[in-house]
Amino acid sequence: MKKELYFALYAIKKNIQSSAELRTSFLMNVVGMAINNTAFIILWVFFVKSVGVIGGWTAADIIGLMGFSTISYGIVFSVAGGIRRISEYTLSGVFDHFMLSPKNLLLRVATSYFGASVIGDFIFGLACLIIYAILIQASLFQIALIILMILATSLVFLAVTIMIYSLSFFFTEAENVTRGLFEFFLTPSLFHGGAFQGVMRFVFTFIVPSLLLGAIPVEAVRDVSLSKIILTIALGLIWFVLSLKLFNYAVKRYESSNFMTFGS
Amino acid sequence: MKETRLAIKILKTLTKDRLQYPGRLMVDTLTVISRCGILLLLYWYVYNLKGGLINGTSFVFVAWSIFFYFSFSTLRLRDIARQIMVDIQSGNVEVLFSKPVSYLSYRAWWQIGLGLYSFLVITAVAGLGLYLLIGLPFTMTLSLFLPTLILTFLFAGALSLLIYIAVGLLAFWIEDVNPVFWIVDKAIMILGGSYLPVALFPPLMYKMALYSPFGASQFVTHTVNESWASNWYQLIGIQIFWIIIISIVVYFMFEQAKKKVSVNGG
Amino acid sequence: MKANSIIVSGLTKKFTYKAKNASHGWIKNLFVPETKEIIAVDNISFSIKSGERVAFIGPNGAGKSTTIKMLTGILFPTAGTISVLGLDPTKDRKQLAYKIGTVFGQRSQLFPNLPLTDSLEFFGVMYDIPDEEIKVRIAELVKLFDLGDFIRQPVRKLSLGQRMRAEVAASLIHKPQIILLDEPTIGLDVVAKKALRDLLLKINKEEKTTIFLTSHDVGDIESLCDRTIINHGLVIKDIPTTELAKTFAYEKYIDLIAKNKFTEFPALPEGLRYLAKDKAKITVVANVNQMNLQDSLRQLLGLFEVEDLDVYNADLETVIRHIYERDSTGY
Repeated sequence: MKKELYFALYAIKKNIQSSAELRTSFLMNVVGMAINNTAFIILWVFFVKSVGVIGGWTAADIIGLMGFSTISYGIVFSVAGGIRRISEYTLSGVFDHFMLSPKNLLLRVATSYFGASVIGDFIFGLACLIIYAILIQASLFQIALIILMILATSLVFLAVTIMIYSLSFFFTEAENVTRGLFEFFLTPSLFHGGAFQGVMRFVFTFIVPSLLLGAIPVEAVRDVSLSKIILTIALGLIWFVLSLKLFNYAVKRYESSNFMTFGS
Repeated sequence: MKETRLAIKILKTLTKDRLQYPGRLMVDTLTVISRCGILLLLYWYVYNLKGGLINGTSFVFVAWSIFFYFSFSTLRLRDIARQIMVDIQSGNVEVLFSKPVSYLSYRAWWQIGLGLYSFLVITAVAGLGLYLLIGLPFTMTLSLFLPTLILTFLFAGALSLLIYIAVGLLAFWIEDVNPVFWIVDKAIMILGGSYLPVALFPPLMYKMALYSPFGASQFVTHTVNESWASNWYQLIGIQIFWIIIISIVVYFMFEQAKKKVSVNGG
Repeated sequence: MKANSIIVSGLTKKFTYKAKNASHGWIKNLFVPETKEIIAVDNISFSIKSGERVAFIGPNGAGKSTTIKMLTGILFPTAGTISVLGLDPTKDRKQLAYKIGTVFGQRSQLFPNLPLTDSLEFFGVMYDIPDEEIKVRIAELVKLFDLGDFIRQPVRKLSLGQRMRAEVAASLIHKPQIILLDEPTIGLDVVAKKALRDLLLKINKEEKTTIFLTSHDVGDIESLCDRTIINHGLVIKDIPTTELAKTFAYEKYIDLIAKNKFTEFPALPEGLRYLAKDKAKITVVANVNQMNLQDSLRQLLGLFEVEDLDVYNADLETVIRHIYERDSTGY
């Protein structure tokens, strides 16, 4: 197990080095991503300005929301960026290559890719959370909670990503399907959390865990709500275990395809 | 005319292709449901809380405005930027240069062809659904609504394509166009009235939405507003203005790009 | 007399690129980079008559694809002139596009999810062929290429061999006068290769299409092309394929069949080396640049008692390898 981790870290380091080579592109990616994410904040802040406080959510909470979502996005995709490329890998047959490597398959695939833009997400998320902590005048305990919640949300994010992309093995036009599902999961997580109530809240917490990515952690920290903290962590663990099971099952059903690419 | 015949053929063939593989339709449906659908639910809840009126508008206006934005985006015209980038990086651009077609118009029709089927199906079905659920705002029943909607829609399509083509063409000079793409895309998203409908914009933002090419490319969302009846010709004028300007920019970029390909390879 | 399809004269292509100087800092490299120049194609000239089948070969990086791109008008030459079917590719690219067909071995131009007929019709429209004519042409191609079995299947379901046949068929929808193929047989099995080659020979014979192909497959060259242009940035030789072996071979293979038994295998003089040693038969390779054939045979017959003797040229593959190697060592 130790060897696996060591190799995984090595692969990540190599990834970072090789993408840092394209220095200008790297910088542009980071800055571009940060600007990209700011757009959502602008939107929701104006929303709150127009519409007022909903569900107890203020403009500050929006910043917290973006913070959690983007930082977990950044963490998961720096460490496990390759998972999003599973559909590409299966189409091109590169996946076979990974299956033959002597390392744990999931780790190998996960660490096979690193897109520079995720660092932008991470920095942005961190900045948001720091600003949020300042805005709500967070106590030390709340700050510790924030860190705990970052871990929990990253776990949920990782788990759902693995599950969605494991589905690549079951479809021929996997790219489209996985992208659609990923959209469906990610988009609500960037929405104003206070507006999710009742049935909507239930669906997006327990069935499609989008709210676990940002909205619930924000409420957990802001209200120091024990129930929400436990909920997030527990669900995170459950999803993670499920995702590993799905991945292994999917790989068993795997078949490889040939090399020719199609131009248009 | 030759161009028309090829354009129609591209649209027909790609639609046929999409019919074979409904994967794309499924993605687009899920996207629309997750974005537009949830957004509408959100606003419905919010409007209820606020007693039906925000900023002087009621839910039904906002709902249709948002719907138009998302229905228009199922055409995925923005993908033309990525497609051009991929063409350049893979060398496919050279294959296309060796064919007797004009590269840009070929790519534009291709992009429309890829999205046409999803667009028609989703717009029809979702539009019908929305109508049955919440009815229509009175502005949509006016006689000038439909013709001006179509006009705005066509110009919006042309403008969107032009903007994204300009972004895509940058790939001839910059290795990674993604950051530029994101920024342009987000500007359009904000100023186009997607997650926050134009009717709820603060005055400065509204001006930006009105006069910028980014906002102009999404003017379909303005058609439900009460002010539309009196200022639609202004907005269409703004669209035409930007179409001309960006066409000129694209033209020069493309000429330079062709020179670059012919001198230094891809 | 057959007209010239392609005339290339003094063709040169130089590329400039920005190189990173390791001794400069990365900021300097970003803003004030060094420019280096490479000469991809250096003053080559050749001409191809209409209806000919020509192989254009050379080691990787020799400028083959660069030359093809200049022929199609995608790339502009730094110096020299090209005339393809009487047109200047740099000026009349679109016009020329109607008259040439292209097949790229690694890149498919067909719609993967639709049956082949849809792709063929599509290209028909692209080349401005009237609908009726398209139907007739497709029927012709189906017959010529024997596509009937799989014409209704989605292209992605075809085997590689079938797909290449389909690609070539699609490239001929508009009856081009020249067809340029870049590695068309790559990845095909032996049977599929032969089928494709026969097809190209058929097209050449029946429609008089000029064939210009690049390939690394010696079989392609041998069976398909009556002329070979070997390119290493500058054209080395432009000769009938059958003459290749003779012109370039500096190695002769000599088989010695033992009269009784070969028991000793003494060291051979400079210019000769053992390829195979057996008590029944020895194969010696003689480098005729170091020792001429007369002397080689005299030496060998002095060393061994033979029942029979066979002298032959290296096969085409070895010859071509020699050519490539020779050029890299500046022989």
